[in-house]
Amino acid sequence: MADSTGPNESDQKQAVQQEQSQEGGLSARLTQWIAFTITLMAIATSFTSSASGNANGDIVNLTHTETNKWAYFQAKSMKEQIFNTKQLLLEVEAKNVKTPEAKSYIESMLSKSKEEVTRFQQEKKALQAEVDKLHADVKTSEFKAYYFGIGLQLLQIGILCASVGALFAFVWLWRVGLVFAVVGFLNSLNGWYSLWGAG
Amino acid sequence: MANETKENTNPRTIDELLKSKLVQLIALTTTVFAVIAAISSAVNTNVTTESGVLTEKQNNGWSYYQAKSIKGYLYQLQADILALEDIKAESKEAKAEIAKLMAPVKQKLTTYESEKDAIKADIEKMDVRIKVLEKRSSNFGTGLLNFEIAIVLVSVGAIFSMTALWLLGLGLGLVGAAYIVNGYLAFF
Repeated sequence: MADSTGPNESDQKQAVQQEQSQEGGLSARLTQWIAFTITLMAIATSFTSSASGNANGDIVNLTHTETNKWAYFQAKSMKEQIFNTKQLLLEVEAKNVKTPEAKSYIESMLSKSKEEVTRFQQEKKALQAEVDKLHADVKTSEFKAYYFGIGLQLLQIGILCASVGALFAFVWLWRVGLVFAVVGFLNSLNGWYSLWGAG
Repeated sequence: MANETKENTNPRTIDELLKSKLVQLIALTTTVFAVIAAISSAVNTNVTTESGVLTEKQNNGWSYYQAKSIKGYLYQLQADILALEDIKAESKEAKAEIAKLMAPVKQKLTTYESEKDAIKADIEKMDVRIKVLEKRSSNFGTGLLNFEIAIVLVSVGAIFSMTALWLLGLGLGLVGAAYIVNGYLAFF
């Protein structure tokens, strides 16, 4: 009896051990895959997070510069208006003065005022071009920040799903995490290379 | 017998010992990286905030400069009108009256010019400081990015006992450390 049951038990034990080692092997490989994908997601998240921070910083800095330039533009506009007023006053005075000395003074003042008005107009034009370029840069940074933001969120959800999937051995959750991460990565790429949606 | 029992209860081979030492080393590396990254992140926040505050102050300074400049132009306008009135004036009394009005205007013009120069010098000082802070912040940013990736690589290396991954993480961490040191001391 002992001989007849002995081989059966040992066969069963061997089969269980084989199954366990097979399961263990598969599980280890899968765990390695999950770890590998989480590493990739974490690296992509780090880059996206850094790029998102830069894009948001650019929005603030460029908007500050734009505001500053507008204030400069307005200052020039006010100075131009001062010279316009001066011109008007001098033109009125020119009709009333009789002495040649006063007339020549008015003429020289008028010519200086006209020069200043022209200078301010040219400077305003150049500033307007600078402000327009800055505005376009702000828009580009806003576009980047938007897509980096979405990418970051999706990558973080991906890491979370993959990690929980690894912890509770839910392969489907890891796969869901992968989908989130891929979509997130695509959004992040769009932030870098403006693949779609750029105005 | 007693020796045999001891050996059986403590069956650690040299390989196991080395492996446990490696894991300890990896854990230590991760901890050191995490601590450096946390401190540097806090310093980077301070640097970025200082840069932002200085930029605001600089903008404020430019507005103040422009206000002085506009007032200067208005005083110049007054001076020019008074100069014309002086030419037109026929009596000595009128000329004296105009000269009385002209004196404070000229005084104001000189004051505004010197104040404008002082404001401009302050703004230029702030500009130099902002440039240094921006450079430091950029170095901290790159260093932190390296550290984040290094921590991930070292952690995964520890989980799967992959020495190569740990070494790669260690290398990346060293690069990150170089950037962070540059963030503190602004060498390059």
